[in-house]
Amino acid sequence: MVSLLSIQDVTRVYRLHGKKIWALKEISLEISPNQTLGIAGESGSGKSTLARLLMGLEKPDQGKILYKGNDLAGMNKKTLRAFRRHLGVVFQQPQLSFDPRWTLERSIEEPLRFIAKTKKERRSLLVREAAAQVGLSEELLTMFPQQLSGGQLQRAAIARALIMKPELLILDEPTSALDISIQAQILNVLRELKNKLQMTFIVISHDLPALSYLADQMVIMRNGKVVESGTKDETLRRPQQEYTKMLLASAL
Amino acid sequence: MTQTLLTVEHLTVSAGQTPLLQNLSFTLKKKETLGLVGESGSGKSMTAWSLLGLLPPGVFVQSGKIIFKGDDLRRFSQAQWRVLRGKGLAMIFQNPQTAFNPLFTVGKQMDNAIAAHFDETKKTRRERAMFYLRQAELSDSGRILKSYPFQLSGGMLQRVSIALALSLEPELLIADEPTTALDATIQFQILNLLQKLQKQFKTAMLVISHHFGVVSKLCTQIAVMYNGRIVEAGLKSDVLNQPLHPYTRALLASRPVNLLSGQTLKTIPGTPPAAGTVTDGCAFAPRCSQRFELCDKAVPPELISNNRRVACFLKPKYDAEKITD
Repeated sequence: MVSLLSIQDVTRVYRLHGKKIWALKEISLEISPNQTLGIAGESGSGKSTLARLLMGLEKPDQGKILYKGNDLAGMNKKTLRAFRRHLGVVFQQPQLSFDPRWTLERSIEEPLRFIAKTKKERRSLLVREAAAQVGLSEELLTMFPQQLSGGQLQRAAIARALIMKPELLILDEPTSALDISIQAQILNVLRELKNKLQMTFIVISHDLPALSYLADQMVIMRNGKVVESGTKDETLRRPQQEYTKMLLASAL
Repeated sequence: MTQTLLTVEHLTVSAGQTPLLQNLSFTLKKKETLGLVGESGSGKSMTAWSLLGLLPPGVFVQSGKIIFKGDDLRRFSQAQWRVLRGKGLAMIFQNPQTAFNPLFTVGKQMDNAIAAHFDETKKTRRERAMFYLRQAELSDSGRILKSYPFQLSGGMLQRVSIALALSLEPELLIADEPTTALDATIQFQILNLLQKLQKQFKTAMLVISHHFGVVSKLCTQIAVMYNGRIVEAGLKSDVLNQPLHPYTRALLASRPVNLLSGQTLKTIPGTPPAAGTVTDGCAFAPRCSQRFELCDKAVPPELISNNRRVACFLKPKYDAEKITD
């Protein structure tokens, strides 16, 4: 199978007070189209650095990230923008991902206005379609972020990420900031989308059980390295590494 | 007979006209461990702040009693509170990074707390601090004392705050989401540590968490809160194995850990009510799959039998089911 994303020997180093911090050390991963990849790791494992590199927000110090064979680092502003058109992102804190002065509808339709230059009537239709897809009731669209709960906002964030019908959706800790009963709702929304849409999902989380609900493939990261990777069942049922076993045993 | 340490009776806490805790009652005996479980806005942290006399400005105890070792805490003066906090009731906070003063070493802060409660020489105070740091499995206790909070990791700092709390020999330890800010493997270590220390020092403990896993690891009793009320309470084994309130059932079914065993995730529709929401009927009714007419009209009373408390009109039905099982 041809990879959608190919991460080849990627290293990312940050410098803090003259000291080098190796956020990622020679990481290689292949991400196939229409698969869901779960990336698990604790703080400092490099999972969020990896997410930023995949979004093209940062460049690796060494190695390459290829999107359909094209190196992200070699892209100019224009081609990078074209790449991001096919990319949706959902962040951990839904409260921080919305402009407080905009209604939900205005926020969700922003990519259509800004990138696709879609006409007004069509935008309205697409926003309602996306809202229905994530179980966000239509009357909430006229509300402002401050009027909504974390779960409702996270649904809206997913709707916004889907509105351009991206090939790839990156979710960075999409349920960590939510209440337990709401986490379950969002996990079910994501699972339904994954089963319904022909799309690639990358889900990053420290919550192994939540990842296991969504992922086909799993990657376990620690200290900037991949310690274990494989299908979900292999990783959960027959973990090879002590660290993976420890993570599994720590799940409450 | 074990002695009762803490009795909370019909406690109602309000912000203006908005009730944040409604008619809350529970007791804790010496050496006992109780876990309060609930989602945001359920009032679990507000309960802890009421016990410590640290309610935010504008929030006050409207009615009810908090009795600790026979004294009504509502009548306490500032001076009495100062003695009680730390030595009577100690608290472990969610985020150890914000629980310490960044400008002083950990040793200085431990020493200040110990000096406030014990008439001991400087040398004895230092020995006391080092003893409890070692109990919290921080081997290099001399170095820890010299460290500033930012020089220690989150897990180490949480160990220090546990050591600090225990060094005052409190009778009741309140832990508000003690591991929520920590990584999974560190969370596991800290829970094991708390479990060990509770057994060793026999301190009564009130654990507050949104996480059933945390509470069930540390506590023998569990109370489930929703919209400022306790909806179900009982022995851990009863509440976990035979949850009676539909909210408890639904919350247990929606725990992500179920997913590791391949179970599907059942969800509760809707969102938990914002703190202080006033309802005519049961606050959970709008999200409840078992709801019937009465649920919207009256607040279900707490029905008590066999050491179980459940605030649900359907309790008799569940009891009958349990008998036929």
